[in-house]
Amino acid sequence: MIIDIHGHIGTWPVFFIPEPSDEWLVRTNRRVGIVSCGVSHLLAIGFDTERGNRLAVEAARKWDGELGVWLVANPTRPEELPHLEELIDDPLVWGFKFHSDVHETPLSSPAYEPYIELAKEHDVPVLAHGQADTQYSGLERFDAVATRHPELKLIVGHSGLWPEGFSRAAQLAAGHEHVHLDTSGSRITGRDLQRLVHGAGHEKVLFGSDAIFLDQRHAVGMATHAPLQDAERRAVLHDNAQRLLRRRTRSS
Amino acid sequence: MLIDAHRILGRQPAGQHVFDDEASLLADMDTAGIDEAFVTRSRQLLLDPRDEAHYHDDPPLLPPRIKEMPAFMPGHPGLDDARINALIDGFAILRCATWPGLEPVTASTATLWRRLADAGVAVAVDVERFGWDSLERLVDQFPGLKVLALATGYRNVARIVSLARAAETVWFETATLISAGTVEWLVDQIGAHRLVFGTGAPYRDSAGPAFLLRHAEISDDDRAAIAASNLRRLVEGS
Repeated sequence: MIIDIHGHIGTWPVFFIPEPSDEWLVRTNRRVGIVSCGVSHLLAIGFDTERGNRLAVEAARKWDGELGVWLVANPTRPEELPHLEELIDDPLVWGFKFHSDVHETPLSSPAYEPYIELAKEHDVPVLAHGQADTQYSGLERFDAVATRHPELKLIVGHSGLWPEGFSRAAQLAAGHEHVHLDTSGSRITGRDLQRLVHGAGHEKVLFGSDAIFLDQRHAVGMATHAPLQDAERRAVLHDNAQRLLRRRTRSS
Repeated sequence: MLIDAHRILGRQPAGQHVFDDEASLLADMDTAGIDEAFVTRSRQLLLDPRDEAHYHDDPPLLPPRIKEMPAFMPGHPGLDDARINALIDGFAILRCATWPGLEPVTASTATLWRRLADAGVAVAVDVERFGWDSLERLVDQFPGLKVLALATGYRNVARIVSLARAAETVWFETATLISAGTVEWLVDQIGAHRLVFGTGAPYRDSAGPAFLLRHAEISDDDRAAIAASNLRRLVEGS
């Protein structure tokens, strides 16, 4: 039984994704044991935040808890904050998604503060794209946010994305009580996952696939065959996400 | 039967992604459920080919599960006829090594590519390093050459379809075909007979692509073709 902390639906205007729909995502999830997946709509990340967020909630309503929603917050459009305040209490919403590289705003910028305060007020996590080599979402940005907001539940999406960032991501999560890592990304291997778990602590790592941007079957194969103890694997695949979300997922 | 067309064995300058010996490589294959692998020694991709002389006493890789896929570097001044002859005589598939700035498909390398095509030797190219433009030029200029494109990237599926339709002698390895539903979509667009299972390990995970192929919504015949028989036909020429 797997909870996928990092998913998407929708198309992305940089390359062709063969299967962008929530129908394909859920059908394929069922085939590989994913009982619940948190998605942000790629339209919301890239072009039209409010419309994409509403499409994500609409899609999640069809699937009885098999999909949750990460509401995208675009710090360059503060006028869109009211729709997030409106949607944040929907039981299908898992929290906020930040993508500081697409929005060209450093994660530690004051522009994110209203969204962080909203997340804290509603006790929901923030899943933020984390890419070790960029000025916007580098791991030092996460460190700054976690230091400023030690009570914020902050997930480092992709654990830094590139292998050269994984050990720093593990140190970061080990050093902040409420910082977690997710396993999504095209380059992570089972041995990388083992190092993340041992470096950050098994309670700090969450399974993520990045589907439908990527194919969740690849991520499931990596995580289920990684050199982990059974208890570590259970924590990563399911228990940590369930504890962190404390919201409605299909398995809770 | 699952055969990995894309594996590297040996030291890396920076440590963490490595199978130093055949035992660790075989253990990883067992974990992923991979029966056989075509393996290139890391030094043949990382060093100047002249450094191969320092390793002349290395034992051969262990068949039958591990099959050697030696590398050659087109355009390297030290690649002489004797080395080319030995590769053509000894192996059915070779891996192309490249250096930044050393264009692999030029007038000066045409004779080499033509010899490989005439001999029926297949060539595996890592598209991340070789480049899409060079791959398309290679396929266009040497239509008889059998090419296995490694690491084409999940962002390039439209380019894969275009190239597959333009040339019958190009196959595509699956390690990086990991955007949602890409394997099924490519089977529909270009046919399962053009896809070859591979992992890119240890730089990439090996269990992920194996699990994906096992759970792909394709026919068992198509799965078996991608898993093993396409590669066998490529190297055995049948």
